[in-house]
Amino acid sequence: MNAALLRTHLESTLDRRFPSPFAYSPAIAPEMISVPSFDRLVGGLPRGSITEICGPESSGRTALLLSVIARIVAKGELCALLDAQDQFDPHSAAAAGIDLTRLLWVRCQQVEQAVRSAEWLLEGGGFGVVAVDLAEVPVHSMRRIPLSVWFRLRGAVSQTRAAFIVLEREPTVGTPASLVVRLKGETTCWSRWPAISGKSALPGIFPKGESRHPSHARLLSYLRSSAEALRSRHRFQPGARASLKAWPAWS
Amino acid sequence: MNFACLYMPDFSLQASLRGEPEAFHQAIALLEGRTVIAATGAARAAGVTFGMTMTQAAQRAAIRRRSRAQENSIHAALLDCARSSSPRVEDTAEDTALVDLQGLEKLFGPPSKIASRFLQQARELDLTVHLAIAANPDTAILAARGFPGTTIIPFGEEARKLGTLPVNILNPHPETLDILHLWGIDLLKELAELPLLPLSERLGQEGVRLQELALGKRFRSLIVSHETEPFEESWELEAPATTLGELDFILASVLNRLSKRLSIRSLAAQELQLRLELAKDPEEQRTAMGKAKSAGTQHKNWGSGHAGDDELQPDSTLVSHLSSHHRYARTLSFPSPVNDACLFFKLWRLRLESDLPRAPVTKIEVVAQPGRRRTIQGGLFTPCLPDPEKLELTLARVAAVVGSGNVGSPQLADTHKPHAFHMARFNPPEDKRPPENKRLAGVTPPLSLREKSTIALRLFRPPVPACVQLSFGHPRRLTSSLVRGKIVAAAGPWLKSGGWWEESWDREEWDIEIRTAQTTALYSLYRDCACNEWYLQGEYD
Repeated sequence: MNAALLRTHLESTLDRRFPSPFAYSPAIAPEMISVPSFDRLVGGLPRGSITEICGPESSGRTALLLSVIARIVAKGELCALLDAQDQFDPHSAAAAGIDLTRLLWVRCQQVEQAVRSAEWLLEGGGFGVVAVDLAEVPVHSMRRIPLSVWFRLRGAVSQTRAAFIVLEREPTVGTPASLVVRLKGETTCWSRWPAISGKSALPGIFPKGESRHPSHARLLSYLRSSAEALRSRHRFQPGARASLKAWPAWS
Repeated sequence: MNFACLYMPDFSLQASLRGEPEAFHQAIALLEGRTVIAATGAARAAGVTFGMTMTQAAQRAAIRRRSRAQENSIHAALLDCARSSSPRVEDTAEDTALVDLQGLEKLFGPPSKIASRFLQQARELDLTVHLAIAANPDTAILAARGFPGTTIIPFGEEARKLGTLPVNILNPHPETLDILHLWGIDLLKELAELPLLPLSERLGQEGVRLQELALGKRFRSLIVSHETEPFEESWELEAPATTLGELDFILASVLNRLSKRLSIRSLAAQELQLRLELAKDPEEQRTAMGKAKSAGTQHKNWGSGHAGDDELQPDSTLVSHLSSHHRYARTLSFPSPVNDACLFFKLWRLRLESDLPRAPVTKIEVVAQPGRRRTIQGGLFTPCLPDPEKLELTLARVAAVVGSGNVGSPQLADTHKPHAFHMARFNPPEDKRPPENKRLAGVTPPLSLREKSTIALRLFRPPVPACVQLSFGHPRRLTSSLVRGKIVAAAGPWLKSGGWWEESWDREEWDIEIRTAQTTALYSLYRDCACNEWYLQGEYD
C-alpha cells in the first residue's frame, strides 16, 4: 500500500472520531486551468493553498506551470515566478501565450532568496499565481528547508486568492501542501518526414542500421507525460492518472 | 475682504530650526559668516545681539549656521501653504506670501474659518506664521508683519487697526524715516493725521505713498507667481553623517515634510530623486570617521561596500574614492503617483542599504516630480491587483536581496540572437478587461490557451560545456557535468549566425534525446562553430 492510499485509509477511518483535522472546506473554488486531463484528475488548481508539481527532467513540469500562468494572466491577473536557478526562458513563456508585462520574474541565485521573496510577495497580495521554480535544486538542498517555512508560507497564502505553486524534483513540502502532483515523462514523439527511398543520394549520411530519415528533417512533435495526484484535498482519486501532452512552440 | 497675508517672523531662524520646536526655547544664535544675524528669545535674554561676533555669541548661546538651502525649502513650503487654498498667490518676499481670497468664502466659509485653515496647514508644515486678512494687499502685509497671530481687519477700519504700528514698518527711505522722527511721528496713526498737501510738499510722492499705506487706502493688483516644479526639500547637516543611522532621522524628517507639502496641494510623487552631497575635504572625512569610531557605532558605515558589513574601512580606502564622488544621486520612479512618507522612507532605506554613498553626507536634498493622485473605480468582476504602494515596497525588498537587475518583467529583444531578452520594470497595465468582455467582443484566445500546453525550454545560464561523440556527423553520445548517456534521437543541425557587427554568434543547434539509467530527457545542444566546442544550452520540460 503506497503512502497516498494509506493516508486516505487513515483519514476515512479517523474522520468520524476526530473530524476537525480532516475537515477541508475550500473558501475559494479551484481554478480550472484548461488542461482538461489535469482538471479532471484533481478538479482544478486550488487557490489560497500550496500546490506541488514534481517530476524528473523532461516530464512536462514547466510546460504545465506555463499553462497555468498563461491561463491566469489571460484573466487579467498578475503572476510572479521566483526562479531559484535562473533557468526561465522568456521566449518559451511568450510561446505559451503569457503576456510578459503581467509576469513578475525574480531571478534568484539561492533557494533561500526565492523562498524569502515568495513570502514577501504573498504578504503583499494581489497576485493570482506565485510560483517558485525549484525544479533543478537537488533534493538534499530542498530537504534543508525547515518545515516551519512551508507552514509559514501556507499561512501567508491562505490569506490571499493566490495559488502558490512549487516546482520541484521530489515532493518535499509535506503536510502544508494541499495538492501534490507527480509527473513522469512517458513518450517523446519526433515527426518523421518521408524517408529517402532506395540508395542514399548522399552516401555516408545514414549509417548502417539507422533510419533513413535525415536528422535535419526531423522535428520534436510532442512530449507525453503522465500525472498522478499524490495528495489532493479537493478531489483525490487514489491511483488515478492522467495523460498530459505538450507540443513545441512551432507545432 | 479679499486678501490674506502669511508672514513668517524670524525667517532665517525658522528655516534653521524647522522641525525642532523645543529649540526655540533654547539660547541659539544664528550666524552668517562670523556675525550673528538672528537669535532666539532665550539667546537675546542671555545678551546676544545682532551683529555680535561668533566668539562673543558662543559664550552666551549655541551656534547655528544660516542655510540658504533650508531657507529655499521653507519659502517653498510657505508658498505651498498659500496655494493650498487659492491659485492666485503673490510671492511678495521670502518670508511673505499674499493670497487672493476672492470667491473662497463660498468654499471655506467666513474669513475666520479661512484663517484657521491656513494656520492649520502652516502647522502641518512646521511653519510659524502671522496671518492677516484685509481688503487690500498692503494693509494685509502691514498687519501680518505688525501683529502676531491672526488679524482680521474689516473694510473701513484699516486706519484704526494699523494706527498703533510704528512707522518703520512701512520700510521708508532712511532719510524720510529720520525726518518723520524729527517731526515726532513714530506711529502710523500720527502719520495718517498729517495734512496731505503739506506732507506732499515736504516729502514728495514718497510721503503720499506712506500716508496712503498708513490709512490702508492704497490699492494695487496682485502679482501672481507661477508654480515652480518640482518640489524640493533639503537639509544641510551641521556635521557630516557617517552612518545610515545618523542619516535616517533627517531623511525621514525631510521626506515627511515633502509628503505634507504634496498632501496639502492634493498631489503625489511620480518620481523621487535623492541627492546627497558628500564631504569633499579628506580632513573633514577623517574627522567624521574618527567621530564614528569613537562613538562605537553599530550602524552601517559609508564605504563599507555592502549592507551587511558593520566594520569601518581604513581611512585611506575611503579617501581614495572622494575625488570623483562628491555627489550621490539616485531616482525612484513609481508606476502611479503615490504620497506616503513612510513608504518613501522605507524605499530609500532599502536603496541606501544596498547602494551606500562612498563618503560622509553633508547635505540631503529630495526632489519630487508631482503628479495627480490615482483614482480607480474598482469593479466587482475585475481581477484584484496588488496595491501599487505595497507592490513598490515589496519589489524594493526583493531587489535588495536578489539585486535590482534581477527583478522585473522580461521583454523579448528585437533580434535573432537566440534567447535574447531584457528586464524591464514591472509595471503591469491597469486597463485589462475581464475575460467576459473579451468573449463578448469575439476575441479568440491565443492558440496556446486552447487546451494546449507548450514545451518549455529551461535554459542553463551559462551553457554547460559538453563532450559529444559524433558518428557520421550526428551526435551519438554526450558527456557533461549535468548529464551523460547515449543519444537515442537527434534532430538537427539548424544553423544560426549573426551579430557580426557586434557580439557575433555562429552555432549549429541540435535537439537530442538522452537515455540514462533512470530516465529519458530532452536537451537543446549546440556547437559553437567559432571554437568548435559543444554546449548544452537547456533542457526541454
